[in-house]
Amino acid sequence: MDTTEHTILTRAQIDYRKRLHRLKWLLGRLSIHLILGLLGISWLVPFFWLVSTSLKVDSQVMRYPPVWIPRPVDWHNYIEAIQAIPFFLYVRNTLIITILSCLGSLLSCPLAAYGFSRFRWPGRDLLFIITLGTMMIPYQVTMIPLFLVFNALKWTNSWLPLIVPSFFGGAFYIFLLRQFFLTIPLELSDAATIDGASEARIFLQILLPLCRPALAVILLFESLSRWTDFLGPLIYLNREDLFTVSIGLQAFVMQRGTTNWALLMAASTLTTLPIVILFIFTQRTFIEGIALTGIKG
Amino acid sequence: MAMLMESKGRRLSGASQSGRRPIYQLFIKRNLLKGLAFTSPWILGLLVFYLYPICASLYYSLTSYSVFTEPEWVGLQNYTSLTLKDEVFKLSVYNSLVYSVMMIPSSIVVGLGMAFLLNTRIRGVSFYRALYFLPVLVPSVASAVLWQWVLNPRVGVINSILASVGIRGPGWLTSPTWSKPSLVLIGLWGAGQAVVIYLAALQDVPTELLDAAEVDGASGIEKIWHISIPMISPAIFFNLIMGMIGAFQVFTLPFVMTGGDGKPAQSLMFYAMYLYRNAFLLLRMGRASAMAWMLTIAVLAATLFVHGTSARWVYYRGR
Amino acid sequence: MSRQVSRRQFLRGAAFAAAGAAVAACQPQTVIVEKEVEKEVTKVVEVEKEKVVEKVITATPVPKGPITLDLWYRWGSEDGTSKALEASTDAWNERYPDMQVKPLSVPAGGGAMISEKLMTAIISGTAPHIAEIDMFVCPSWAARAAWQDLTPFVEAEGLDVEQEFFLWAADEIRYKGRVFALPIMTDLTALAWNKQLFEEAGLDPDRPPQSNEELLEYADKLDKKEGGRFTRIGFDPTTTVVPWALGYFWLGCKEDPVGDFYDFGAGKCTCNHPRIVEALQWKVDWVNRYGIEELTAFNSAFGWGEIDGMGNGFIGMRILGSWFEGMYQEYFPELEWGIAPAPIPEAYGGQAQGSCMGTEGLAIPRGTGIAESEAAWQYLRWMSGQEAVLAFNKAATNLPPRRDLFDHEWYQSTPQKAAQMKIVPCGFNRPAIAEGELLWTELLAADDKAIHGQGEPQALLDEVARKVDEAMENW
Repeated sequence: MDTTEHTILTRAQIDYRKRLHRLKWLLGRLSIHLILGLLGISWLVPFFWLVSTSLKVDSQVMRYPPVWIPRPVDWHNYIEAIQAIPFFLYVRNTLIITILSCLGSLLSCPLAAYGFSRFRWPGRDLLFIITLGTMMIPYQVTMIPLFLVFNALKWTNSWLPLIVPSFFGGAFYIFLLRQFFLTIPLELSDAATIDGASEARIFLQILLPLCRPALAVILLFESLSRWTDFLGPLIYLNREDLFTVSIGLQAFVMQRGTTNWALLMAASTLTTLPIVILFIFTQRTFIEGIALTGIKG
Repeated sequence: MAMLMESKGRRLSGASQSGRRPIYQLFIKRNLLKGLAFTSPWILGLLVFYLYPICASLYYSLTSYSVFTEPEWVGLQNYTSLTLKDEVFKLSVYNSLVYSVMMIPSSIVVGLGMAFLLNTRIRGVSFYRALYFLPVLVPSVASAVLWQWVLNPRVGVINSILASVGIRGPGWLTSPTWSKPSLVLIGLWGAGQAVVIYLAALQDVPTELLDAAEVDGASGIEKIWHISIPMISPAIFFNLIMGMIGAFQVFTLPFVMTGGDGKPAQSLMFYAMYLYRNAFLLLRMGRASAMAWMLTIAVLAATLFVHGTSARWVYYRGR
Repeated sequence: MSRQVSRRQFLRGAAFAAAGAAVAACQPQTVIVEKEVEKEVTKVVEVEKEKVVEKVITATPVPKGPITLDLWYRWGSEDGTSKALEASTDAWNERYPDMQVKPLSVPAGGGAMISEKLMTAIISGTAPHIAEIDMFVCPSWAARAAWQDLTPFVEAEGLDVEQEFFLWAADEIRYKGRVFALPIMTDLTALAWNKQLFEEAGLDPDRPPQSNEELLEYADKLDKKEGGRFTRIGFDPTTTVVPWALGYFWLGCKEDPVGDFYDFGAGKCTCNHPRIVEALQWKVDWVNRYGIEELTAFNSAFGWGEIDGMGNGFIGMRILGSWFEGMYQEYFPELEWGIAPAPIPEAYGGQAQGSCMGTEGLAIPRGTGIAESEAAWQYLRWMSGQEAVLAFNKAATNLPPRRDLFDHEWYQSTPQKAAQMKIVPCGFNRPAIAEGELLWTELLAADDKAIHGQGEPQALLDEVARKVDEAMENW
């Protein structure tokens, strides 16, 4: 129908339409840039305020109207923060926990997600609903009994309670992976089955490579949640040499109170910086990777 | 292609004639073993990290338990005294509901809006993506400290900007009326995590479909509404459920910000915080467990409800 | 020798275990058992008393080898108080090389008076040997068997806690007649005023308001408004006026009180006592004078240290704690300011007699071994002794819980301290009940709601009392 309409248009009309279309397209681009840019600036305001405050001398912090660009730029808050907290030790600790629990999640979650999505078996859906259910269980419910279990195992004041559970999978990631597996046509596995491939081979050689982007998302989420985890380390780690960055910062806030804003901002910047740097170097893999590879296979 | 159709047909016929053929029984058995094999680490995890603690916590919820002494059986007393007599409990339910009602829809709208904007092929889009994702990287403790400072009613950056255009900013976190919207604001600032999921899903929307729609003369909005949104409905479903659970359990941010007491005027005393307070400040593990159980049931019910409706609006390809 | 010691240790251990069981069994239906256990305990203690006394006097209770004791305290490691603690501990360590104490800063988070870390550590059996705690939660935690019962030590030493410490301190370290901690320092809250601002406003800088009526008058002269916003506040009713302090200003003197937050005779929470309700109403009225939004916005620009509101001349009068003196000395050495009893209505005497004493002390968490407990007890005695208390007070500009320091010249060295020492004998402690922590958090919440106009003081305090009474039924 459309094609017949197009054929009766004159060349000039087509040109005009094309130009109009191009103009519209340009305007659209421009407005998207404008919206994204303006929103982006407002998104950055807290960061700006964070860094700006952290570089101020004390007398400028509470100035009204506020001083936007610190003058002079003063690094003493950072020096004081690094002296007060064994920052690099905390970073190392957090990295160890993060890497090991990422490994655990990447080993355990795809297995379960595969079992939940690619073939039917009795009890599968019930088990999946239970799995979903665990996501809704407040951490506080399992916190105390689990603490007692780990305590009986003499695992408190070690990183084990923070790492080991990830080797048994987590509902969040299983659910996410299952959603991704579901969007991959079943016909793919069926064809492989007909070709004589075992389920393990299908999983390892066909499905797993296909869900690489989903695994990247899980890697990102897991490292994020480990880096920022607060309650877990708070409960299980008492010794300062085991502290993670997050509770290191919390302890610092507790010690200094919430009034020396410049110092607190410096400490917060330091806490955030490593993961931001990591993100900047890997964001192509993560966000672009997800974007470009897609799930189309 | 014919092969694929055939295999599907075979599976369907197998399912329809269940019960009579012994071969089918075998098929089931094999799949059961296979299913259990794939999910066994997780089943173990379920038993150790969920089933046992949940049962233990159910038991505690029926006792008076201060951790130091042995639990003492009190029956349903924790549940009745909470729901019938405890004003703070009721307030915490109210606060969590109000927060959820504000947070869940706005986070979906903002998240989707950002995802669509970030899904366009414009110059520098990867920069914008990184930028909007940045807040997700801020640890919640740092975020709590940062926002208390940003939202300072007198010398905070937001009220300073407002003042420069002649608006007298609200008290934000210090005002009972504004404290919950402030928290929503902070939550939306960190919406980048959901955006990543939407973006991943949007990449998966077949360009042929969109191109076809374009040829048919569909506008941008129409394409989004009729093609993209249905195609990414699994992602929306996922974010909706995660958002619901997250909103019901909001804890770290208000906890760190208010020192755990939910000020001003207990307007930030959320359910999970009151639960924590009962457990760790007042050492009423029984009461806290009862609260945890009520929360669990409420969240479970809400999620099952959403899951039940999902067949009508969530679209899965390959199923 | 070693065999004898180990037998002794065993017996002492049995005494402790029994004492622990007695406390753990503080439930209505086990009263008889409890009494029997207590008899048992006293018997064992009697038997062992002689040896223990001998030990305590020679102050060398180390059976074999050096002992290292971990101590957790809640102040920041850079804090002046922490430095005082470290210094006193260094002195101890030098004197008793066999009983080394290692202090560690473990700040409490989340509004808790005791850190969750300590709680989880006690549950898991990884607690330090000694813990520094806010004394008013000591009874709550003693009721939950978190601490070792120190009564055998107290009795062995013949220590009379009421003789040694002020009544408010002696009350807080005990629960149901047994001793669980020793106090190391105390603070109180009172009225502070900025003399420079008084002068500016044409008031006599050396005459603080003598009553609430005068307070109003003074505040009228000190308030300053520009463009619809306050630029100076005459009397700030919100800073550091916790509900306790507020109530105790209005309740006379602990020796002969008008009322209290808990009536032990009737076993009822009386935080809705007419005087306390009136006191809360007083605070609400003061807040309404400025408006809560205005007041919180105003105060959000200030904080500890260099950015203090009164120090910078933005607040004329406020209620604040002893520890502020050190801050003003450090950050505002030029500031002229004074401390006086809090103003109350003329009809009730005009000036408060008492105040709420915030005491801090040391306890020995459950699970500490026998030899360690003995060493820890010696350390507790050292830290609650004259020398260490004075060092703490000097570092944190606080007040002594010890009676024998009352006349010490140092507490007269500044007018601010002298003014506070007059209040000390009349000070109150928060009720030593099993639900002290609940009473505290509920009162804080009621106070916060009242000043935000979400409920009337009477109704709010009635609800707190009801809740506490309900919770107390379990004890």
